Amino acid sequence: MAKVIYGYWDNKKIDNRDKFLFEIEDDENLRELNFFEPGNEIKAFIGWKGFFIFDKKVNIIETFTKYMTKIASESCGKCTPCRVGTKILAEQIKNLKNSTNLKEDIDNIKKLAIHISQTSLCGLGQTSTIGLLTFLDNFEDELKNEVENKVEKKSYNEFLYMTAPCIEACPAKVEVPKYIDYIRDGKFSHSVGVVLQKYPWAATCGRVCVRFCEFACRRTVVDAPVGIKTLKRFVADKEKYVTDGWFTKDLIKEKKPEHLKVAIIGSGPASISAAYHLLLRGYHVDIFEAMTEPGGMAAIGIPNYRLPKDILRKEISIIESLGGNIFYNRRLGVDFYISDLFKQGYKSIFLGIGASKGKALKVPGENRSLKGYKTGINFLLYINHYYINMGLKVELGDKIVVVGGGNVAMDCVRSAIRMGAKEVHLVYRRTEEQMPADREEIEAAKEEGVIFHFLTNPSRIISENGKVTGIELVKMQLGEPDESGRRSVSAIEGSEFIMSADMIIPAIGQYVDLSFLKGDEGIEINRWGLIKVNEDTLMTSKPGVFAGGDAVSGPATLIEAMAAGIKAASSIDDYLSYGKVRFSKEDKMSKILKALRIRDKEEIKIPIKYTRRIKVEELEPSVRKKIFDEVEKPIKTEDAYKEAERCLRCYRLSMVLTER
Amino acid sequence: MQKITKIEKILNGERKTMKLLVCVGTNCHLRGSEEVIRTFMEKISKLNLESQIELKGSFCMGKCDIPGISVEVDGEFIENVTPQNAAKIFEELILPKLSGGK
Repeated sequence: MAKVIYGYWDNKKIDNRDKFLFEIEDDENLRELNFFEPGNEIKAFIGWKGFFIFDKKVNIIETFTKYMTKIASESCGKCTPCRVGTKILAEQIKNLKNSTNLKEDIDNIKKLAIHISQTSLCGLGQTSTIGLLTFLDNFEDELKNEVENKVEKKSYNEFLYMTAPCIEACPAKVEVPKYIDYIRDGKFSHSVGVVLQKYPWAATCGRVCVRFCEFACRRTVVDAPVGIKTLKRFVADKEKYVTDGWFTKDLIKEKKPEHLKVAIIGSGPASISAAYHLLLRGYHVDIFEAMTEPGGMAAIGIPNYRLPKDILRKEISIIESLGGNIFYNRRLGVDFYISDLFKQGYKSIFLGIGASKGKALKVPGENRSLKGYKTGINFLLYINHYYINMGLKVELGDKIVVVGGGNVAMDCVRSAIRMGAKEVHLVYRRTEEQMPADREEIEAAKEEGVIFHFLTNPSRIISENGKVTGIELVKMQLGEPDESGRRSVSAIEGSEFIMSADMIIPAIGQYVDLSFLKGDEGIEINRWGLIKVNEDTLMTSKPGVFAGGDAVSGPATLIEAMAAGIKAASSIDDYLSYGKVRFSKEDKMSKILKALRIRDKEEIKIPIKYTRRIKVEELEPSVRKKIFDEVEKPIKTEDAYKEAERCLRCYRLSMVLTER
Repeated sequence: MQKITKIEKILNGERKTMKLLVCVGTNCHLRGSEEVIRTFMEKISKLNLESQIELKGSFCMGKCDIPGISVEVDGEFIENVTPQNAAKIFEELILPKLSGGK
């Protein structure tokens, strides 16, 4: 239970030693610290800001010895306090057991601990003795009690986990400080190797990642975050010929039996990352892609000037170099079904099918193959790509009707105006006040000449020879507020009217294309139209079928999808090897650290020289308009060295003691 | 050399305006319509044909089963366009239409 007997965290002392257990209040923030795996109580926790003791029987000396020994073994060795000091400290703590002069020994330990934390060069050394120091400063008597009275203490199982704020911020848990270290040391291929342990798309991610890591970077407190993404791109590009040679079938250490086949649906970031890790674990992997090109949203949704297609294609070909197959033009739910895959001998299936389908209006006459019918998200994707990036107008017709009240709908109407449409209508079934779109957007759309129809809903789509010609609309009325306070709307009978239209754009949300479910029972879908999975294992409600990426989370980022692929691969491996998905200690530890807010940017106590963050040069705007090559220029090697120097290596070691 | 004179003939002769549509639907996009459009744009600006050729994108033309990227010149469909042969197609099939001849 998260009943802290005593502890110290983030400058706050907790002392409940004289209370009965039932009197101690549960700390809501420490809920994650109740159990490690279900039924396995956490007895103590030591981290970078202090410690918690949940059980009086915890053997203090042994606990801190274990912690300090691990620090000593993780020390990179570049500075003496951390390399030598932590070893001596571990030894001194261990010897306390037989101490003859306890007071003096504790004083010596304190002095050394302060010294290490103040003079170490990086985060590991600086935070390594905080737990110990806060203990000695506040609860020295507990230690004396343990040594002098020889109270019987128990030793528990420990789990140690070294991480950093940037690693924890990254969904894929890429070891950022490690690959930056290798750059600093000039070992570029080692550096890219660190990234490749997590996913095969180092060059892709180095270009388009949303950089959760940089937002968590503690360097922000000093000047500006380290250019983590830029450095990744630098090593990935620099070493591309070296890494090419790595991806052969020889990389797979142990082949799994041939009949343990895995089918992966889709070839987007989630699927490719899952395939990569399954191939490296020795499984036979077949990917089925509905389109004629691989890459999913990464190929469709990211413009060439940010992510050149040849780079993406090359990084996808890693799958083929490792022995995986990609079959194109094979659409789940049309060309084959999940049940077919099981019949063909696939033992597990991963659904990385994305959430690219715009919601349909669900009115008579609606048909996705109609000319002049395009869902909002698809419409925007292409308008953005071809109009904004290339300056090419897209033929739309004269009269456009957009349905919906969100920002996507606003983007659609305003883009349509820019495309040269003569008349643009927006249809929304509620009132203007209830529109979820931003006020500024609505005002701007009005100024630009969009004609709004509130309390109006489509009831039929009219087409001729496969082309949209108009839309039947019906007036709506507001009803009584429901439990959530939102007033319901209902159609006013007999108020239907017809509006001619060359193009109809429904912009009412996105979901997973569920047509694949035809004939396959057992895969549950949640109320948002996304695939329902067990959060910890990514298994769907059908045994052996896993899902991840946008299909589960809804539209999100590339790195989150790749992280889902990593998790799915490990779950599928567990499922095929053990019949069930095993508990992941690392995942649990990440949850604990998140609850303890490892990503908060604490004050940096040691002086650090201000340095300027690397500035990535871009092509001149005048050149940019004409050519469609990458806009961002590569950085120079000496700049990469300089940038790598800026990393503060905010490593932290955390340790839990558990019952089992 | 012959080719150049042919193009010159077209450019010096009487010109019409034409509408050139390139499909940017999902399938054609993945087949490389971006590169085809880029080639067309380059050609058009090199020959100063901006006022004669109206180049536009189009959503799916419904011809995904035909190989190549869907291209339409004044309503006439051109098959088998790829990023590799786009320049050739522009010179041999699209430009002549400007003079009304073949």
